[in-house]
This record gives sequence, C-alpha cells and structure tokens, in this order.
Amino acid sequence: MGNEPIIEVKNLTKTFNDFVAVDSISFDVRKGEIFGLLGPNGAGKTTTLRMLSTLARPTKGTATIGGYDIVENDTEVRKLVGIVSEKMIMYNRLTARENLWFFGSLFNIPKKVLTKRIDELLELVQLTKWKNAQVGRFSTGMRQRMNVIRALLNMPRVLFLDEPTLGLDPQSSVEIRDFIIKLNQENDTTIIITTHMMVEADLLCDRIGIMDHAKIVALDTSTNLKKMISGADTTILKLEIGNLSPNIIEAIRTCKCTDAVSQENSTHLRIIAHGDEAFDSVVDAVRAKNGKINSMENLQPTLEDVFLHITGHQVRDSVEQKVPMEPHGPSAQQKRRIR
Amino acid sequence: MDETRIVSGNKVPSSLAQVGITMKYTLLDYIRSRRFYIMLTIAIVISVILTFVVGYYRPASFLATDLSFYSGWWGNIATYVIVLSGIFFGGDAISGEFQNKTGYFGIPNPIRRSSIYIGKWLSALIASTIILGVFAAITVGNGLYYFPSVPSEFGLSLLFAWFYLMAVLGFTFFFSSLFKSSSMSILVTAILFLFAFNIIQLFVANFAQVEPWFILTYGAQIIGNILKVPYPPPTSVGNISPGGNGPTLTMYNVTVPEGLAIIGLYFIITAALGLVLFERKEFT
Repeated sequence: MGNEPIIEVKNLTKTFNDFVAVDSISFDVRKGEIFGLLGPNGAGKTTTLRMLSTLARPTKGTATIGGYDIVENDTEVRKLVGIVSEKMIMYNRLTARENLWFFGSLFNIPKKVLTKRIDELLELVQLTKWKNAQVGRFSTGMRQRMNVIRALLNMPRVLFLDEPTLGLDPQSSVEIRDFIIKLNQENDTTIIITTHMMVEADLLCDRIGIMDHAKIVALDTSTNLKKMISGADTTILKLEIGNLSPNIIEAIRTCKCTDAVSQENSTHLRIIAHGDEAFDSVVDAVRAKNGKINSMENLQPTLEDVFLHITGHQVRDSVEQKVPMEPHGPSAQQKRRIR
Repeated sequence: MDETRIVSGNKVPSSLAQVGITMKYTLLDYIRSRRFYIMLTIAIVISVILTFVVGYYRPASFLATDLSFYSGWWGNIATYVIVLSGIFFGGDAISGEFQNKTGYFGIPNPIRRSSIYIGKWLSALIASTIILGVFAAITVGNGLYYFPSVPSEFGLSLLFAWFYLMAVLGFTFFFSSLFKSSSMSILVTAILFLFAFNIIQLFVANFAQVEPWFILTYGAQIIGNILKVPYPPPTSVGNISPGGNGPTLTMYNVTVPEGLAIIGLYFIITAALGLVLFERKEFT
C-alpha cells in the first residue's frame, strides 16, 4: 500500500429535494488500501459509492479516481472501477457464463484471455459446475459470489463493494472476506467497502470512515479510532441488571459521567462513561433505583463503542432514523450524545 | 491475474461493438423469457382461429380476391400483433433496468448509455420481428391455400408493418425511459395504443372534423389500406342513419406518404426523447 491517493473526495454532496443524503464529505483513499465506510442504513454510504462509481451525479463537490473527475471523465473512471452491490441483479435468464461473457465483452479483453479468466474466477468461487445454469436459479450466496467475480473480470484498479456480505450465511461471508483480502494483497487492488457490520470493518479495513446522518464523523485506522475512547479518562462498562427498567436506564443516562448508554438485551447495558468516579457513579445510580446488579465488566473498546461514543447511538438504532432531525456539525454531534 | 489488466489496457470496444454485445445478450434474455412464448402463442392462436373461421365459413369478404383475403386477415390483425409485441418487449425495456436493478450491471461499465439503449431497442425489434414474421408466414400459408400467388401489395404492407413496429418500439421505449416502474410504463403504453389513440382519432375525425395526422395509429392505417383496391380516398362522408337523412360522419384515410411521414416522425421523436431521458436518469 502506497501513500499516493487514488481517490480524492472533496466536499461531495448529494441531495434529493430537501433531503441531504451525503453532506459535504471529504476524504482520500490510498493506492492498494482497503478503505471502509461504516455506518447505519441511511447514513449515506451507498449514495457515496454510487456517486464514486458514476451511477449518480453529485449535487455539489468533486471527486477524482486515478486523476479522472467522476463527472467530467466518467467513462475513464468506469474503466478503472468495478462495483459490487447487494442490489445488483444479473440477467436471470442468462447462464452464469453468459452473464460473465456479457460483462467481460464490454472491455477490450481478447476472447482467449476472457475465457481463461471466467473459468478461473468461477473455479475460485466454486461455481464451475453451475456455469451453464441460469442465474435465476441461484441462491443468494451464489448470486453474490457471481456479483463479486463479475466485477473482477476486467481486473479493476479500484473495487467498490457495497455491503458485500449482506444476507449471506456465515460460511459465504467468510469466503467473500477471505477473497477480498486475497484480491487486495495479490493484485494491489484498492478496495472501498461499505458495511454496517463493525466486525467486518475491523477485520478488513486499513482505515475506516464512520458515517452518520450523511457526514463522515470520524476517519482513521481501527486502532486509532478505538484509542479515541480508550484513554485513561474513559470507561466502558457492561452491566447485567436483573430487574432492568426504563427508570434505571434513565438514572444512568442522567449521571454526569455518562457519555452513552445502549441496551443490548432485556438485562444487559453497555455504558461509556468518563472520569475517575464513573464506576461508582453508575453503580450508585442503579442502586438508587433499586436495581440489582448481577455482573459488571470493564471492556476493551470495539468499533461499536467508537460509533456509540461519537454519535450517541448504536448502529442498529439508526435504521429508523434515516432523515436527520437536527443540524449536523461537531456541536450537534455533542448534543446528540445521550446523557 | 495481471494478464487481463495488461491486455485490456483500459481500452474498450467501439460503441458499435457495444451495441452488438448488448443486443446479443438482451435478445437471448428475451427469447428465453415467458413473455416471448406468450406472445408467440397469442400470434399462433389468432392465426388458428382465423384459419378455422375462414376455412369453415368461407366468408365472401375474405375469399373474393387475393387482396381482400390479405386485407381481411393481415390488414385487420397485424397492427394488434405489432402493438402487443411492442408492449411486451419494449414496455419495460428501460424501466425494468431500474426496477429490477439490472441497470447496475451495465451502467457502471465503460459503455455509452446510447449503446445500451440502441442494443436493447434492436433486440426488442428482432424479438418482435420474429413474432410478426410467424404471423405473416401463417397468413401467407393460408393465402397460398386459397390463391395461387401472393400479391405484391402484401409485400408493401409487410414493409409498412415493420416500419410501424419500429415506431411502436420507439414509443414504448420512450415511456419505458420516462417511468421507473415497469408496470406503469407497460400500462400507460397499453392504454394509449389499445384505447386512447383510437378514441382520440374517432373524436377528432368525427366531431372536430380534423384529419388526425398527429396520431400514430392513424398513420398505421396504410398497412391495411394498401391492400384495398382502389386505395381509399383521403376523405369520404358517410351517413349514420339508414335512410340517409341523419347526421353525417367524415372518414379520413391516410395516404401512403402521409402514413410513412407520421410513422417516421413518431419513431425519430420518441426514440430520441427516450434516449435523452435515459441518459439523464440516475440510479439512486
């Protein structure tokens, strides 16, 4: 991985009438890097990818890939990129081989090379014996594997993967992830991946941009992002409370030391707090409401905690909050923290 | 793996080659579709019914001359076969790319949208031509059973029908580009061709007493009219009541040059508008 940026994004914005889907984001991606865009549904990850892959036009801002502007030189950009989207559908009545031929023929790849390449890729994702079957008969996992190899036929320098493991069984997800790493290491392919799965981002990405409400709210390596909340002043607690109630949660939230609270299930809470008194304050707040603490753990931060710390809510909470209700910006982020 | 990257060298096939690639695979997709076989069945069922009716009842209007046979059989039915084929193959050709998300497959590639549009249009034309060809072949087969030769006018009518098919597909592709929903584009096209155009034509001609030169289905009358001897006069006045004392109706008959001009203009304008719409559409 070099330091030379292959993608440069400056103030990229996309609006649909009054709704701001992507709000003036800026970042760059280095050559050979696996870069993750992490965030809940509706955060703007997919729209960002669609703009970068020339499927949608930005409302404002610019982006270049390999030095080519995504609007002015969209055809040149398309020669460099491949995109895999969970929404991508192949032609169901064409066979696996025909679909791949259709796509591969759009590039200047000689027939011999293309034939060899198609066979290799089908073998790689264990679809060789299905090569003459119509794609309409494939399972979700098989289709997604087809989607990935389809995007690799022309050996793109930049590969966009939009939720590549969404809806896949664990085994297929692992296979796809291994394949992504292999592709990056063996071919120096720059990969931009969007996901709402923290573990996936942690496993795959060299750097991660956390998106929430159309903005990039943090961008760094996974280790550095975790360091943001693993300083001496921050404590991550996991509490099991036998008689957990809304009153107890509210009592913890209103503690001065509490930065964020998330309920994991009917008895467990995950709390990010700060200050020397954090531990005692939280315990006191629970006991004041007659809460019965069964267990308590001091945890190492995860990307989920980072997200919670920065945005004040969990990734899964945001699925229902697609439309931003308040202005963005650092001050607004502070306000959104659940206290 | 690098071999592919090296040999492709960021070059792409010419736009014409890309049209050919899109056409080839879209045609394969069409020909394997259920709708292709439904349309083929419709054309064959219509032909079987006509074969039975003409063979059993021997209607004089059909069997008086070879031209009256082709006029009754081909002249009355071909336009419906064309419109149905246009709706079946063109109705969702572009909107389906958005609704079924197959557009994500083609659009992010270094291919001009015009190549996709033209390739898909050509494949719809070929698929529809196969259906029309089957209907024409059965018509000729029956014609040769009753009459020794095929009149040259039928050849002209066939050519006009093919031009009309091109215009219908231009029109259906336009509506297909206008809407993102396949069912909406199919519904609007079907209503226009099967009902609205005919009703507008009837009202404009009979109540406003204006030649409906702006309606595509009016231009398509040349398909049937060319099989009539003599060719119908541009206007004729008929009386509604049997005694001849009631209100009169003015009948307009399109001439061949007018018909060709209407069909040509419809094709050029709607195909171009459809392409412009498709070029501007975003996948969001």
